Amino acid sequence: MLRRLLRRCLRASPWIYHLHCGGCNGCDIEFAACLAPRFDIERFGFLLVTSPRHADILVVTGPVSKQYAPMVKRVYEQVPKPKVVVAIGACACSGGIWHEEDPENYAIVGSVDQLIPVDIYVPGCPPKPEAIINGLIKAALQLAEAR
Amino acid sequence: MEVVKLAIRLLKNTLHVETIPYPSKRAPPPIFTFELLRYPSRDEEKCIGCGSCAHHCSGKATYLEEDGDRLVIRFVKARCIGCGRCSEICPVEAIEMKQPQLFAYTREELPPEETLTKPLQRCCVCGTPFAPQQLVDEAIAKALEKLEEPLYTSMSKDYAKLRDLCPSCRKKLSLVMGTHPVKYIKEVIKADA
Repeated sequence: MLRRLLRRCLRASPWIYHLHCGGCNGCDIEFAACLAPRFDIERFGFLLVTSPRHADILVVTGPVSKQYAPMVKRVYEQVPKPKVVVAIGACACSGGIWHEEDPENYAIVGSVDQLIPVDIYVPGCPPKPEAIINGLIKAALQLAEAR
Repeated sequence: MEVVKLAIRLLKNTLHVETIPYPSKRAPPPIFTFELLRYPSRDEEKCIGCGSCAHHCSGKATYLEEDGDRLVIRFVKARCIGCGRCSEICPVEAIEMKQPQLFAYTREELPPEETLTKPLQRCCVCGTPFAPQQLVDEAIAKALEKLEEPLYTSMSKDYAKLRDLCPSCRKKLSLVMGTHPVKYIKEVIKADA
């Protein structure tokens, strides 16, 4: 019963940590729009936290640059289990305009799922705040199931 | 009086709710990006397989692959940034920016690659595939479109011969097949004399 109560509580208040790994910052602006009054994701109980150690959901934006790749892994490991990773934007989902197969890009690794397992993909360049909200709600439901 | 007006305004402002209750109500689309925040959808019958969408794609979301006798046009949805260059450049207007980008996918729901195969025309002399059949037909139709009568019949005869030849064989065999453009120049010179 306690577990059921805990699950309900966690579904109602997932904490998110935002990680920007490179790129043009467009998706970050859309994500900031989600937090702002017009789309206000705190209606659903999401709370932005400043440390990955407090977070349940890791929101990743932008293509991962080669210099930043070890930090992405480290931040992922710092998030306590159970955790859900949401990739926002075409770059984070699949490399986007940075995607190069042959020859490989000298500075960019590409999509986030080459480094850490991604659960929710929100493609778009940039995705609309509505799409980001859709993704985060899916992530919260998945998180509640994982508990 | 002023104070009452100010008080009414203040009350209105405090009662005004800016937040859009998203799942039940959607935000109005901004006018200038209405076309851009969309995915392209390809009309498979209209498409002639010229590959200009792949050459102009800014994110390499559309790309070409040659698989023996066929040309495969592949489209990765997750890599598309919705810039609309493919629909802008398409010569037969087969691509439309239709599907709106308002979705989130789990790992299992992620859409697979969209593929479209077009048969390639093989050269009847050397046997190498050189261009999609529909593209060859379309190019010939466009070349003959504006020609007038005496030239039209002779040129259409030439194109009927040239249709099955690859560009290098066309050059090599132009004098043998009688398709070299020098004959038109000769006619013009004769007419002038």
